[in-house]
Amino acid sequence: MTSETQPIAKTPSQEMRSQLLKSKTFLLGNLGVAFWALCAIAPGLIVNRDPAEQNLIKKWTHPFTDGFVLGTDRSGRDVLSRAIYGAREIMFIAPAATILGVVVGVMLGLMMGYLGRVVDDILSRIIEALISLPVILVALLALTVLDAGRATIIGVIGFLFAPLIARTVRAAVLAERNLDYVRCAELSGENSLYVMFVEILPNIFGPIIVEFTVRLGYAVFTMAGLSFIGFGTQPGSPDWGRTIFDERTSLLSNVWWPSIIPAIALASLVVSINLIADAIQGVVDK
Amino acid sequence: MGKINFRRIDAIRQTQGQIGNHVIDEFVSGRLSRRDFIRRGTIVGLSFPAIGALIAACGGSETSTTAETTGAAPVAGGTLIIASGTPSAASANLDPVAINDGNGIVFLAQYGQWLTLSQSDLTLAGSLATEWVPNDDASEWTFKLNPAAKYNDGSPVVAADVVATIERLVNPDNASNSLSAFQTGKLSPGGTIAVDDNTVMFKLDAPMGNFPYIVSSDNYNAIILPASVTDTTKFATSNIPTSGPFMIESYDAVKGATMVRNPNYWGTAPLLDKVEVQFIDDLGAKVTAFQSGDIDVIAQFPVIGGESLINNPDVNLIEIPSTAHYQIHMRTSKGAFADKRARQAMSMAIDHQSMVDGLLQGKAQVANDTPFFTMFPSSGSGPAREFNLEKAKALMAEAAPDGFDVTLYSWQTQEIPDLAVLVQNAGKELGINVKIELRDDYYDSYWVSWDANTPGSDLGITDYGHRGVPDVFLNAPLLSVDKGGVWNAAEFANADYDAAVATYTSSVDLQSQQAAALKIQEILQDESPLMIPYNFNFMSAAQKNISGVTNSGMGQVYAEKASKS
Repeated sequence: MTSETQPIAKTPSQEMRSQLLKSKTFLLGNLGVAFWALCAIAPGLIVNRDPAEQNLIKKWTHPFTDGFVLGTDRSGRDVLSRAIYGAREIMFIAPAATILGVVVGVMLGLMMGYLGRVVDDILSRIIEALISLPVILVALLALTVLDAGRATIIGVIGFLFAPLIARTVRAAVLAERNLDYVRCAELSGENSLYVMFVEILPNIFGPIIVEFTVRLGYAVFTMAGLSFIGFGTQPGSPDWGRTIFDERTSLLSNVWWPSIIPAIALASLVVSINLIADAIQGVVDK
Repeated sequence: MGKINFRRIDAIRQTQGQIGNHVIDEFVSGRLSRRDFIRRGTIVGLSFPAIGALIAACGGSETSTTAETTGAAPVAGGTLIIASGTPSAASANLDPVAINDGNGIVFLAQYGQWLTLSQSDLTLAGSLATEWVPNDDASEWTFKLNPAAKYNDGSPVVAADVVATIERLVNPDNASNSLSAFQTGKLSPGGTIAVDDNTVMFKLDAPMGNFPYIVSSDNYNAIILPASVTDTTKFATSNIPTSGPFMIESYDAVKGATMVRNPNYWGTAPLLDKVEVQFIDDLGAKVTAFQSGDIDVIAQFPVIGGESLINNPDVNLIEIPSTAHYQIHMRTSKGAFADKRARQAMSMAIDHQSMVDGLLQGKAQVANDTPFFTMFPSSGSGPAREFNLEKAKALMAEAAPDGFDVTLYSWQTQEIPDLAVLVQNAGKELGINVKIELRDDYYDSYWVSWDANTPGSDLGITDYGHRGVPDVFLNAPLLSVDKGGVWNAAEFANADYDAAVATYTSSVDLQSQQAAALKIQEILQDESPLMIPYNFNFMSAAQKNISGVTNSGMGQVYAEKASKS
């Protein structure tokens, strides 16, 4: 008699993880995000020049000249160091704002989708009104009125993303609310909060993760856009959006590296995040 | 100097007053250089023919300097398109009393005229006035108007117009932007008198050797308007007669304006049919529009960001050494920089020469933390500000061994952000953590502490336009508040300084001015209320097919002789 090993069935989350790890786009995206995360956390491991150090007589040194791998900007600052250190602000603010948006959006979406009726009607109208406002304009208005510090930027971006996330979550909840497991929980006397957060939430985790990654990419763009027009960062900050703004006129003198390098850095981070989002979306949709 | 013709000199001397003859004597004896003589001579009212004759009598040759575009042969007709920024809120209606920024000044130069013109070489030329003379102690100045001068409605420019215009500007109730200039000029309400239709006398509160600059194009608000004008607040759309070569045809506070040739212009008729001013705020957009040929002239651009214009052989670059500069104030009365040693340390930690060579690409002159720029003859050979990091650190170790945090306030224009970062980095060397806040409301709230609602700032950067003489720079930003220091952001109060400035202002000969200037420079470097690292050149650009455009260091763009081929 021979004994046969029975294959152990994978849970949905294990299956998802397994598929993601086989996805080249997911791995490539993570590689990009991990690199910029490392730059944000420990830039000193990658470059040894101070990004603020000015050497005015070395203005616009070409790449690969005088020991400057990516050249210098108009104040003689090292472009490579500034690109690496420039990840700091954006890698802190964008994820924090996205997490805030997701937390608020998930709560709103769960309430709208599960409680329905008047709650859904009222919140839906409010959300539709908020969504109709251009994100960058509302952000500008808020940052003009309030102090344009980190906390405000995180709050503003999070607040503006929450309605979008809520609408996605609401749609997912509507698909779940009439399923048997929800009915069972209700019949067994569980209160609404329990049903929403313990029963339904784990089952809509896929769309939430997709929404998180998509919004993270948008948050990076929004943050870069705000710093491009001068909000949230100080002059001289190596932040990518700010640097692109500060150095944009260099392009008119055919000096491309001070503005194009941070633009490439920004694009690489957004593309990396989008690769992750696409991979997760692909797995969730299966 | 060659052979001196004393007979010719004596003939000219007989036509001059005491101060004019003193200037002539200084030149003849060699104590004034030719350049300084031309400049001092124009201030005290020596005419250019008289100056030329005196130089010739002393064995030299006559000279004249203006910054002007040279290009193709002049052609009549066409529209000159000037790109300028959007005027500030105060300048938005082009009210000559209220205009307070360079974007508004661009307009004034098209349709307005002053009694005298401050030129790029710091000499004065006549405009509506043909001659001006002081009394023996320079407490009274008499100006003769050009009898040919008239407004665009054909009516003549008369002394009563000058009286009405100046009285409006010196009236504290009118929110006049030039109030501080007239305070500097020692002119109070009631001090302007029409002697006859073509003669105006200014009776000053105290002697003022440089008074003709106070009614020159340097004091850009002082364009002469008819006495019948009572309200200038809606100037852009109210068809108020003006005497300049162009007149407003249409104005849009968002887009710009078109000005047409003044059909009754009393000077040489302009060649152009029209001058159009387009509001373009972003430097990159301005440069792109210029490169694509959409605009003919960029009224002003900074070195940083304007490199593609500076290094371009296809651009007619207009570069004028000016006394425009940035004042970095450190509040002396309280806060982070109340200790003089901290201010001295900060001042010594900034390398002025590197700023000029690197940041400004040599398009500036090193300054020494005082408004006595090398361009001013009265500056003399004042002390240079030493760049000495070790000494600065030693001073900081005494003043604040643990360092301190301070916020630097200013606004986003020209190279102010770069200058702010340089100050921030200099502070870092000394343990001073400088946070930078560039705010649109800098001038409303963080520049000068006017009252409890305007906090002012311990550290700030303020931009100052060109002046032909240092008087305004010495008065409003530095005098004790009760002595007229209305722009005293540093809250500097020093009796010795106030006295030295009073001596300087009342001096009419160069030697006395230089002696007072030396004392002022020593006090300012010791007390260090301000850092003034450099004064920068005024940069403007015109297309190669444009000729005859002239500029001033203050920001006027004169199109009177311009043509477009």
